[in-house]
Amino acid sequence: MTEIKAKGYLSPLTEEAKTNKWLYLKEWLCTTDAKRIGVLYLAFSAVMGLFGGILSILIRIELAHHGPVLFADPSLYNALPGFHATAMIFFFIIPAFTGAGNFVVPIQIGAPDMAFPRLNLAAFWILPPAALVTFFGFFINSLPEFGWTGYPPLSNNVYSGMLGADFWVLGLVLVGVSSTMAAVNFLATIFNMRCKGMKLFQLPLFTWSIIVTSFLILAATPVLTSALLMLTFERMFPGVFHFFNPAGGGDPVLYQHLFWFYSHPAVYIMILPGFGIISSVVQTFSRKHIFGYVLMAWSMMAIAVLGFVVWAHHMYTTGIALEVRVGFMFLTMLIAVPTGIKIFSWMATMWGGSLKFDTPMLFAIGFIAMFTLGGLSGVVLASVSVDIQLHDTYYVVAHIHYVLVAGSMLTLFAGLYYWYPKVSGKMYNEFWGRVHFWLTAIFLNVTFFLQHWMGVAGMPRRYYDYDPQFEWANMISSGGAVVLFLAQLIFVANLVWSWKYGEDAEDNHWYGDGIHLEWMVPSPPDHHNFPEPPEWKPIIRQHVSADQPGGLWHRQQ
Amino acid sequence: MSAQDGSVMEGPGPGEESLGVTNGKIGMWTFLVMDAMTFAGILAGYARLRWTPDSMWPFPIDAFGVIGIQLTALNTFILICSSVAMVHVLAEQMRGNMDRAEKWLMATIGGGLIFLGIQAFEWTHLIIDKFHLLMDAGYNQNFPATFYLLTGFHGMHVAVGVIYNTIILMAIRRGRVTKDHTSTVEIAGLYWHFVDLIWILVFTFVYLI
Amino acid sequence: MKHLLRNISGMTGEDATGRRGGLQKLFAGVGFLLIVLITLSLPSMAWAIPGSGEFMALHSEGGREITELYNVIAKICLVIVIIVEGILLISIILFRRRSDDELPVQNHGDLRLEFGWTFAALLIQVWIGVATIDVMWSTETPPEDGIDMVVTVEASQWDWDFHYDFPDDPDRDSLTHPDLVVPAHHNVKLEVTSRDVLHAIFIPDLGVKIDAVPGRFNHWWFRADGPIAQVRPGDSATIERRDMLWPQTRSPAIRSGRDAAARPVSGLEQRVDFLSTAREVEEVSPYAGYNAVEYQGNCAELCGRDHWDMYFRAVVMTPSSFERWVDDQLELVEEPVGEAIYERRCSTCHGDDGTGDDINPTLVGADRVINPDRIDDHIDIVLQGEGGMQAFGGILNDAEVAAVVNHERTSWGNDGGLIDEDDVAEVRDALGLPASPAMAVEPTPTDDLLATGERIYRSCASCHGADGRGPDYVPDLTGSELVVAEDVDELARVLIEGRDSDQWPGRKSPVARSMTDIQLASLLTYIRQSFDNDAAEVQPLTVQEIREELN
Repeated sequence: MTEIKAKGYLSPLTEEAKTNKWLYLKEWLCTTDAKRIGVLYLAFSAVMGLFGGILSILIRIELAHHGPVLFADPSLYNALPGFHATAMIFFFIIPAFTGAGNFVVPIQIGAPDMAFPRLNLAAFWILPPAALVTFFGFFINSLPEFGWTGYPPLSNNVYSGMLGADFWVLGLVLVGVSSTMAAVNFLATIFNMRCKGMKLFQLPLFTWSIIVTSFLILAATPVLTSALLMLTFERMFPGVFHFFNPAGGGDPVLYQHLFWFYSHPAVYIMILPGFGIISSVVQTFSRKHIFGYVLMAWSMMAIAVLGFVVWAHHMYTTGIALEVRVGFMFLTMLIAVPTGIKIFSWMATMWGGSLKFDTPMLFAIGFIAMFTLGGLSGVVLASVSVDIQLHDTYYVVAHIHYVLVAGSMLTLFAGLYYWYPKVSGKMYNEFWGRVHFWLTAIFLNVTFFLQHWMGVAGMPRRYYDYDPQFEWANMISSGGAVVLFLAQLIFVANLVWSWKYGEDAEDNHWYGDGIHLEWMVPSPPDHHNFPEPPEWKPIIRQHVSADQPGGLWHRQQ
Repeated sequence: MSAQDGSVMEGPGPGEESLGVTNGKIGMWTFLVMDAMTFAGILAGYARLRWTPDSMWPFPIDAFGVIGIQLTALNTFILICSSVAMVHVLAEQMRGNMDRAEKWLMATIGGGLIFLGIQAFEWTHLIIDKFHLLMDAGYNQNFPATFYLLTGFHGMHVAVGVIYNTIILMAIRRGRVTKDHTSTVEIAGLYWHFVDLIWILVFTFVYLI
Repeated sequence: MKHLLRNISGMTGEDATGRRGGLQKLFAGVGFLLIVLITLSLPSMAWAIPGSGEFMALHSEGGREITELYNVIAKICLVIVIIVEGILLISIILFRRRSDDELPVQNHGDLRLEFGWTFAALLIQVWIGVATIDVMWSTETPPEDGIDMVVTVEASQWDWDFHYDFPDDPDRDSLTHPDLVVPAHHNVKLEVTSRDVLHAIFIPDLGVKIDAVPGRFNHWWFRADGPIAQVRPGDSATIERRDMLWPQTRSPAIRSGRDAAARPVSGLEQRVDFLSTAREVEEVSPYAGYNAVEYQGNCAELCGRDHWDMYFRAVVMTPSSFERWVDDQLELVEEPVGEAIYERRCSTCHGDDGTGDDINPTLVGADRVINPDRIDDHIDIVLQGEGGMQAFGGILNDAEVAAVVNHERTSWGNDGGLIDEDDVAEVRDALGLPASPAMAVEPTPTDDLLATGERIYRSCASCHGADGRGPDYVPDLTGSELVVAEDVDELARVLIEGRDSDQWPGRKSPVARSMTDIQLASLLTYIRQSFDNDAAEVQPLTVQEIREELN
């Protein structure tokens, strides 16, 4: 038995585990160390991300040609987009950011661990069973075909009587419980466990983004849970419950209100941590402070607050009164303001900086460049009249993918590359990292770019087959999707290979430019992060020119 | 519920910069925010279903009868009393008088149990004698549906609260929770008062308006 | 090329610290600029393409307004994209790290700049919002010159039914058709609902989209006039297309063959050629004989297995063609109606082939059916019934009676000569029957009314008692004058409005206020025919009339 030689928190806790792989594995799976739980989250979300990716490839292959390609049965096809979205949103992006937060946040605020370590582990361990339950339909060949939105009456027991649908609903409730537990934990940790000197407006922007995200989860997820509860009751006891059934005095649109009251904030749950990551990456690789820190923090809060009052913009075609829609339109458009502030602040941070283009920075720049497109197509969609025409067309598909793939996913990659030396203590292969970036950036556009046009020309989404006039565009899109997916395998292979064979990373790996606490501890960090409680010296907030003494980053003495 | 576990077990303590309370308390507060939003979602659904034109929603007084509403008012009073008892638990504990704290806690639990009992009686009565008449008369089918959902979901919270308080009672008896562990009792109290508060909302919406 | 690659990927390597030759530098710079331009033009195409008038909704007035709005917003966004990407690229070029110990000048923000872009963004958003409000009101509120035609759209898994009513034209019956056919230059209002799950009617070219929600009606109106704008109201001739009407945002120099203005659409000849498997696509369009333009309509809200297959034709015709189409359709539906009515009403007794059975007489070769002199008798028996046969006079209208009589007189080898609805009207008149109902409303069977009424009465029984005799202070229902009165108005009024009383509980509550017509009719029938009462039944129609009177 070879001895496990790992440093920092990766090292076995007991002597026995040093030589026994099973004990070491058990130590990992039952750990209460937020860093290890973070890694578990990331590994789990990587698996689910690949699963969601495979589903998306199946969808794109079916759509590559006019006419049936892969599936003879439209029912099977109809199930895929719903499962793809569920996998990507609930089991890939949200857990991945939770994982990154678990690893980084306690260190960034100078805490030894999360506030409730065991709750933390429980929150993680709800996820794998939840995934099994959610996708159980695959095993019993009973796939719900109502998409990830699950609008009744289509999703009630009359039109979707299949068992798989019940499992799907139950799985989503479980995920909600898990992410709520994580949010409670994050808030308690960040509000109550900061080290000496770490005032709220000294927090790194990533930690800020986790605060805001946690509040969003806390306030939004339960509303989804209540909607799903009502749906489940209606499915289980159709004679008694008629919440969404007009025949019993219910209202199908009520579900949409509740659903979007969660699912619009969910978009920000999926993008705000990414904003935080980009802030960290940009300031590190520009050797500058983030431009307009206070406004950056406040704009995140503004996005979160506004995110709660715009849900009806997903429902412009359901027959909501004109005046109400006008209100929702203006609120929706207001969100573009704080988002714009963030984009411009990142660019102002880069302006006049000393830019170094390592992989994390490439992803950050790619994110800023392409997320702008996603944001602006959002402005187009906010306009009620235009949105009604584009609603449920491929334009919306293009928009969400520019926001979630070019937004959330690129930020996630930026963060993973950025913190990889810290997490693993090793350095990933820079060349393959860049290959990964360029393939992703190019084929992302190949895949989703033409979908704008399809939508504008009137191709509805969730179509198993389509008018032949869209065939050429779909073909290009499908080709792009396949390459985009394959490029992600490079990423996974790179990180896995480097975990073992990579070069050792330095403590403050990125040219010594990391200014937050995670770069002040060894790579990888020790079990309890800090040997003794650290003290945070606020960064001097004034103009500092390069020739002044004291090195690059001045700290208050 | 999970947040409560966190409050009982020992985790890392607050840092130098904190809000000046225990982690557990923040955990419970945030949990309650979440729980309040769950009720808000269900209540919003209730409001939407009820206050639409031609919803054919029966007047509560027709549906439950005067006596039914009076019974529930009594039940509300019992739950409020139980909440008051919970305040006394903490007060006695802070004075170091664990015996009396224990008695007040038993009163709290008793209040919760009586509440559940009366509610169970009411449900049986309504299911057997009332609701099918309303339905046959062509009223909105969601009147009983929302009634079950709201009061049932709240009843579940009361049940959880009773179990939670019972656990604390056992811990006091075994000496695990002493006069120094005020935050444990305080956190349990937060939950119990919250359940009480929610009931007042539910009672107002379902029985009174 | 090596430098180029390095520049793209930002691999500055050791070259960055060393000095480069002027030419090399120029080459790298030019190459980099080229890449910059290509990368810039890629995303901006997203906005350039729609900015050229390719937005889907061009064939109705409202649609074009939306298209113009879209083009304006898209152009604003394009400008912002160029600014953002431009600044990004300039800073990537200008501020690359040239030496490892380079230390940039620090700043922490600039209030003026921050407030500047906040308010700039705000201003743009508000402007777009206000522009949208304009378009919303003009495209969604009912037009000033009124709605010319209302079409009821009923979606179901996975088909569409379009109902046409012609209230201005008493000669025309209503019409149901699987395609949406409308006259050009008419304000058409769609009232959209669904029979089962959510659907959404979506006609891209006409700018029509609204959800079909079960249990409620959503509205959308449009005025179709394109590719057209060449059909004058009330005119069937085609005239030259006026290009002016097309929103154009790209200069002629860069217009492509796909541009709307250059699209080869001549007159009213556009035909839909893709309707997938749901519909048999005929060699020749069923509208080929009309002066019409066809658009593809589909469903935009996920509605189950064949969501993708809910295509229909949206056909815009010249007004004269539309009149002709309606007449053709009404004639078309006249023929099969006879057979359909027979199958529904008669075949259970008389058999599908008219031969009847032991009890029910055969129609094949029956004297009443084949003898041209006994036409009136034939109509008579259908209207009034005879023996065990039901009277259909109150159920079928004249046209339907004529149709079914004709069917019987011409099928199964019968040859009894044809009649028309005027004959039926004459017979009705002669027999003293009421005139044919315009829309035949079937009376609800008394048994159904009684059954429903009994269920509803259970909630009355707590006071009035199961046998109609409550305690002293509650009015007795047995033989009560109010209850058994010939005229049911007063009783219904008490139930709907309530009535004051000096007895406990003080007031008769208005229990029927929230009941439907059929519920109240059932309850009334029940109490009038139970507890030894024996008064006439009450039909929902009567209740409806009483309610209208009360209001």
